[in-house]
Amino acid sequence: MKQWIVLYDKEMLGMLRSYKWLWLPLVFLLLGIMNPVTTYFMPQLLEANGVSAEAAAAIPVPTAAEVLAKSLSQYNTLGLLILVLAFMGVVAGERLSGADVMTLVKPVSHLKLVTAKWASLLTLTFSSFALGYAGTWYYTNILIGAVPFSAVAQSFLVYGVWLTLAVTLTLFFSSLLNSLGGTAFLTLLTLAVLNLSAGFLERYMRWSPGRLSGAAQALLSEGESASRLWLPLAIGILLALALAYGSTLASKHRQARS
Amino acid sequence: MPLLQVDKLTKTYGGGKPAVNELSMQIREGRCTALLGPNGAGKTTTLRMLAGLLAPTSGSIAFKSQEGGDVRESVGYLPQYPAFPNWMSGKEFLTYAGRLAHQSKREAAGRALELLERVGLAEAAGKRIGGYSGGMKQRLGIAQAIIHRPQLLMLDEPVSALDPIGRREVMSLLAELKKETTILFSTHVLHDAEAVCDDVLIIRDGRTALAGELRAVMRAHARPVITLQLAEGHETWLRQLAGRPYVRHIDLQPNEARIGVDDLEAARTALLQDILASGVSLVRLEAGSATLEDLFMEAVKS
Repeated sequence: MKQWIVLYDKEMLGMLRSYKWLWLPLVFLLLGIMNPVTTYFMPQLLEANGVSAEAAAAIPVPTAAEVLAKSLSQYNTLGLLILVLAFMGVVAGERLSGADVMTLVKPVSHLKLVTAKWASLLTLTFSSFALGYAGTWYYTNILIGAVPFSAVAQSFLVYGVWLTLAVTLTLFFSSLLNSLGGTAFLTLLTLAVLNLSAGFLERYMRWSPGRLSGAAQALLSEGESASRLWLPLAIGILLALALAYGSTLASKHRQARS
Repeated sequence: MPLLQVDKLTKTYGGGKPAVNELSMQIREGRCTALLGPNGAGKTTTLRMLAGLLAPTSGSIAFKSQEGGDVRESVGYLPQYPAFPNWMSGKEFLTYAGRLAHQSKREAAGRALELLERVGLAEAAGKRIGGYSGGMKQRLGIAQAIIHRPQLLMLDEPVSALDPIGRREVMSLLAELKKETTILFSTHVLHDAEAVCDDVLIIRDGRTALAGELRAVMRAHARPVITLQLAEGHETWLRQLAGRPYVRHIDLQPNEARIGVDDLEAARTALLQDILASGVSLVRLEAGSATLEDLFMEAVKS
């Protein structure tokens, strides 16, 4: 366990020194609060662009819950892209440079090495998401209207499982492949397939964790109950655990053949 | 029992010709052993297996006092091209390495400072490794390899990428370390091997070509050799030496010849007489015995 903490601390320090701890939270904060702010200033923006007041009034004003849901959907496109690009080299980068050898010459298992990396990625992801989402909620409350905390908390947790899966997929492909571009491509492709299949084949995909990002938004605006999501949540968590374990095996296999 | 006993170690990569082929060897405690061999002989593969980084295809590696467990506990290893996390400082990296080897925070930090001092990096301790020179990185690599006081220190080509100054620093560090621990290092700078090692192990095509105590091996293979260097323009004269009765074999370079002989005294006298008689201008004449390089060439060729 001590070794694991040492490895985790090293990963955290590495992400701090590469400024990931600065810009990732900032990106999530900006992506999130952009929505309530632009929604609030929409009449002025329209007016400044020559749209008449009557026409502007005809555009429906979104509810506070819809604004928050819109931010989640921003996270699901740009947010995911940025996370995957930031993390695609998490295992492969050190393997390509040979720096992993300087850790593996000491009695360290791949299980500890890879899970420590995984935990550090999740720490940063959840910190960024929590900061961004809290900021969004705060501005939505001030500028648009109140959203109950329980709905926000539920959507945070449900979307958090989806983010965990996305980060774990990045870890997995990074362990499996030496190509950073390949890692980013396959991760984003898998996430898109999960999302789209859950949308198009709704009847057959009730179990799919691909539903989670949409469900997190629905929890806010349509008042869907989180209790009906236990199956995709459980499958999402189990899949993430399986992928994390698969990553340790892939890392071990790759290293033994290098 | 020797510190390390290797039996019929074999490594085959993906169905090809084995990189290491039934290699057997011993490392005795407290000795410094040089692992020699031409490129592609299997030196790096062997060291990586001994360091626990690569699983052998077959064969056994037995450590004294270490049954079963993780060999990495008792081995320190410096790879041929060490790559460090460049964003760490030297001190941070050594502390990290020590803590991975189960040292406490205080112990690792203390040991890191002690070793930085020892390898001459005390002043650069707080600087990022990315700014270190090649020689500094190599010395940092040696420090991380000995941080947990391993029973066996293994270095893969520790000097081959260094300039003469860096090489000298690393070699004198090794000469000091060999008083404290058992060392196995691979090199192709034979002069270095001759200077610091007690034992040699020459491998070729993944097999042992020659092994033993350096002095004993040299003595067993000692053949008198005369090195003759002449002024420019005597190539033809040097070439015709090959026909003389006292010359057993001759190795010709433009103005120089290494002449293997049987009886050093008689050959030297005869050769000097030839030189005087022909009037060629002598630059250098040296009588000695075979160097490790001669031995190496012989072991690797045959």
